[in-house]
Amino acid sequence: MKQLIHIEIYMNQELEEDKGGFYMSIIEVKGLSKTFRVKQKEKGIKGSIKAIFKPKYKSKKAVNDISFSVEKGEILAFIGPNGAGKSTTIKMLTGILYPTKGDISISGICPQTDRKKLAYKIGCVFGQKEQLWIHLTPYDNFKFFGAIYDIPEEVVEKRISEYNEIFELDEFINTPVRSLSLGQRMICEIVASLIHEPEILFLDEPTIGLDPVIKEKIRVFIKRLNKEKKTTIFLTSHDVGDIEKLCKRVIIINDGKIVLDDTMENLKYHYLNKKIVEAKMNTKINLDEADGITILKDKDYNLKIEVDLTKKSISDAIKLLDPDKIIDINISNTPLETIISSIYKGSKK
Amino acid sequence: MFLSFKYNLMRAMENNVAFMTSVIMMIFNNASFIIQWITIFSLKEVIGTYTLNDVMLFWALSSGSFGITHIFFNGITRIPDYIEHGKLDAYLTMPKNVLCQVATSSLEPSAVGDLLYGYIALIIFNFSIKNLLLYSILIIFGGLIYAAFMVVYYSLTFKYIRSNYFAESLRDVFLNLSLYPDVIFSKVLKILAFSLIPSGFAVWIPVYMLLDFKLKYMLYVILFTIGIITLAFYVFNKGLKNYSSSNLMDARS
Repeated sequence: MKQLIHIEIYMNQELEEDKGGFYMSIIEVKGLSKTFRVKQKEKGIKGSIKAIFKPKYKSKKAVNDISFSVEKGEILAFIGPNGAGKSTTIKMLTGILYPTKGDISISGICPQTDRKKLAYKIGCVFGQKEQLWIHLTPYDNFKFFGAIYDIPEEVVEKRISEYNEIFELDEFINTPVRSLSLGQRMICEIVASLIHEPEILFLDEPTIGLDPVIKEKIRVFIKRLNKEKKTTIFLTSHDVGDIEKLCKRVIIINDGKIVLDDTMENLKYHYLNKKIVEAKMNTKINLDEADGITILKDKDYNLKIEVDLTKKSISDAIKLLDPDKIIDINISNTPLETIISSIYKGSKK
Repeated sequence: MFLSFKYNLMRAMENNVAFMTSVIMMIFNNASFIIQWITIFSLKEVIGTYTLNDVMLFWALSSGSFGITHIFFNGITRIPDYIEHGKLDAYLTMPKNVLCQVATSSLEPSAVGDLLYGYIALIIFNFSIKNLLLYSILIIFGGLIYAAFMVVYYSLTFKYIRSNYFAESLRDVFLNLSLYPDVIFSKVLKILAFSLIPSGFAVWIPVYMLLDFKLKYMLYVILFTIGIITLAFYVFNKGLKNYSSSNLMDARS
C-alpha cells in the first residue's frame, strides 16, 4: 500500500476544552524525521581491517516525515512491525533522541530544548529496558524517584500506599528488584513512572513477556488511570489485546511512515468485512471455492471457511454448506491481529 | 549528588562483607607500594629534590583524588557502556542534568579504601593539621579534575564506538604520571601533564603546595578545575546530540 491510507480523523469524544474553549492537543508532531548513520562492514577479518582505513556508512531513515497530534486524555496505540520506527518516535517525543528534522510539542514543551521541564510532565515505561535500580527494593526505588522529581516525602508515601492498594505491592515492596518476577518488576516500573503523576504516560511494550493475569491487571489499571486522572496514554505494543482493550485510536507506522491513523471503531468497521465460519458436519461434503468463499481448512468432517461479506452473505455461505448436515457452527470476526498484519503487509507492497 | 551517594552507598552495602573486603584489600594493595619506595630510597636518599616523605605525598594525593572520583563520580567509568548499549535513556527522561546523574550513578567500594589509604599515607609521612586541611581540599580538586578528564575522553564514544580503549589508555597514563615524582619525566611528558593529560594540575601542583604553599598555585588549580569541568559538560552535551540509543534488553545494576 504505497499511498497513505487516509481516513477521516475521528475526534475523541472525551476531549477536554481548554480555558479558551478550544480543543487542546497535548502532543503535536509536524514533519518529524530521524536518520541514523549506520557503519557498514564487509564480511570477515578482511572487512574489519578495511573498515578501519576506509569506513563506509549508510543512512537509514528510521522515521520519515510523520505528523500527528494526540488530544489530552486520549489513549493512543502507536503500532507497527519491528523496525518500523515506533521506538525511535517515542524516544524523540520523550527527549531521548534528537530529530533530524521536524517539530515536536509535548504539553507545549519542546523535548529537545526543555528536556528537564518535560520530564515533570511525562512518565516513561520501556518494557525492554529497566529504569529501576536492581539492587534496591521497590520501596527505595520509589523514594529515590520521588526525590529526583522533588516530591515531598509525605506525598511519595501517600502515592506508594495508593499504588499498594491497587497492585498489592506489600508482598514484594521490600525485596530487591533483582529477585522479583517479570510481572512484579513491570508493575514497579509503572508505579515508579507515575510517582510524579505525569500528564502523559509513554508505554513502550509494557506487557512484553507477561502472563495473561498480570497483563489484565496492568490494562485495568491503565484504563483506570486514564479515566480518573485523565492521563494521556501513548502506547506501543505488539499485543493486540493491549490495543483492543485499551485504545480508542490507533496509528500504524511502517518503514518510518504513518500508514493508518484512525479510531479503533473505524478500523474494525472498514476491515471487518470478512467472517470466519467453522462448521462440524455429520457427513463429508465437497465444497468448491466460490466467489467470496475461501476454504481455510477441510479435514474429515470439520470445515473452516472465510466469507467475504462484500461478495456473499453469511446465509448464502451456510446454504452452500447444506444446513441439514451441520452439527455445530461458529461464526466469528477476523481477529484484529490478522487485520493489523494485513495492513503491515499491505503497506510494505 | 548526596541523594545519589546515599542510594549508591545503600546498593554497595547490600553485601556488607564484599564491601568491607574490597575496602580493606585496596588499602593493603596501595600500601604494598610503600615497600617498593622504601627499598629505592634505601639505595638513594634523594630522587631529584624529593625524599621518601615527599614521594609519599604523590601517593597520598593520587589515592585521595582517585578515591573521591570513584566514590562520588564512578558512573563516569560507565559512560562508554551507557552510550553503546543505549542505557542513557533512563537518565534522559529524568528532570536532572544527565551528566550529573550519570556521574553519580555508581560507587566503587574499593575507592573508599583508596581514600582512607590517602589519609593514612599523609598522616604517617607528612602529618600536620595544616597539611591535613589543605590535603582534604586538594583531593577534592584533584578528584574533580580526574573526573572531568575522564568525561572528556569517554565522551568520544558518542562519535566513535569502542573509543573507550583509547580513553582507558589515557587514564592509565594519567595515573602513572600522578603516582611518580615529576622530576623523573621528560619535557614532553611534563607538557602533556599540564595539558592533555592533566596530572600536573591534579597531583603535581598540589604536592608543591603541601611542600611550600603559594597562592598562585591554588589559583592555577582552581582555574584549571573550572575550565576542565566546563569542557567536560560541553563535550558531553554536544555528544548527546549524536546519541542513538538502542533496543538492547538490559537492566541497570
